[in-house]
Amino acid sequence: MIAHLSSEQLSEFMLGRPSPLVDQQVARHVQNCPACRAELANFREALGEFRGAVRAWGEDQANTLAIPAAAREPRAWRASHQLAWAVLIAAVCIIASFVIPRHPGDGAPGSDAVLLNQVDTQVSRTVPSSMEPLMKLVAQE
Amino acid sequence: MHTWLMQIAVNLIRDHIRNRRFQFWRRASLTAKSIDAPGFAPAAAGKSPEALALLKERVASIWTTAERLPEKQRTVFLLRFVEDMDLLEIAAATGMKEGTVKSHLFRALRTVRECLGESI
Repeated sequence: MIAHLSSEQLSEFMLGRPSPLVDQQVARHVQNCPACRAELANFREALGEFRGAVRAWGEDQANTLAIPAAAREPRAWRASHQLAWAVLIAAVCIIASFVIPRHPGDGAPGSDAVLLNQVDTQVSRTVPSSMEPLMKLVAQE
Repeated sequence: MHTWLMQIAVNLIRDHIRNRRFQFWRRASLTAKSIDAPGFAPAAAGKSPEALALLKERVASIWTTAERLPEKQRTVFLLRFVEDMDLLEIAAATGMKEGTVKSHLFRALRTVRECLGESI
C-alpha cells in the first residue's frame, strides 16, 4: 500500500486523467483509504460548487451588463458624432465664405451697362466675328 | 438522427453561452478591475443554512485564491474548472503547450487546495 496521495497525484485525479503508470496503484489506494477518498470528494465537490456559482454569476453579469452597455454605447457614439459633424460642417461653411473669392463683376455698379454695350456691338456687326478677316480680304480686293 | 441533431443543438447552445461568458471574462479582465468575491448563490436545494453558509465560504475562498494566482495559472484554472475545457482546448486557446498548461494547472490546484484546507 502506498502513502497518501501526493499533490501531483491528487491533481491528476482532479484533471480526470491519472498517469497510466501509477493509475492502478493509486486507484487501489484511493479505494482503500477513506482519508484520500474524502479529500478527493471534498475537493471535487468544492470545485463543482465553484464552477456552478461562477457560471451562474458570470451569466448573470453578462446578461445585466451586456445589454445596457450595448444599448448605451451606440447611442452615445451617434450623438457625439452627429454633433462633431455639425460643428465640422459649420466650420467649413464659415471658412469657405472667407476663402472662396467672389466673381469680380458680381454686383458691381454699371455692370449692366457694360453688358448692354457688348450686346450692341455683337448685334451691330454685319458678319460674325469669326468671318471678319475674310471680309477684310474682300474689302482689299 | 434525432439524438445527433439534439447533440448539435446542445453544442451550439453551449458554445453560445460559453462565448457570452468569455466576452464577460474578457471585459472584466480588460477593465483590470478586481472583482470582489461576488454574491455567489450556490444551489441551495436540500441544504441546511449551515451547510449553505459553509458552501458559500468555500466558493468565496476558491474565488479569492484564484484571484491571487499568477495570471497564467488563473487563466488555465478558470478555463479548466469553470469552462470545462480539456488540456488540448486550453492549449489551443492560450497558445501554450499542453505540458505547460498541465504544469500551471498543477500549481494552481495545489495553491487552491492549500487555501481551501486553511479556510475550512
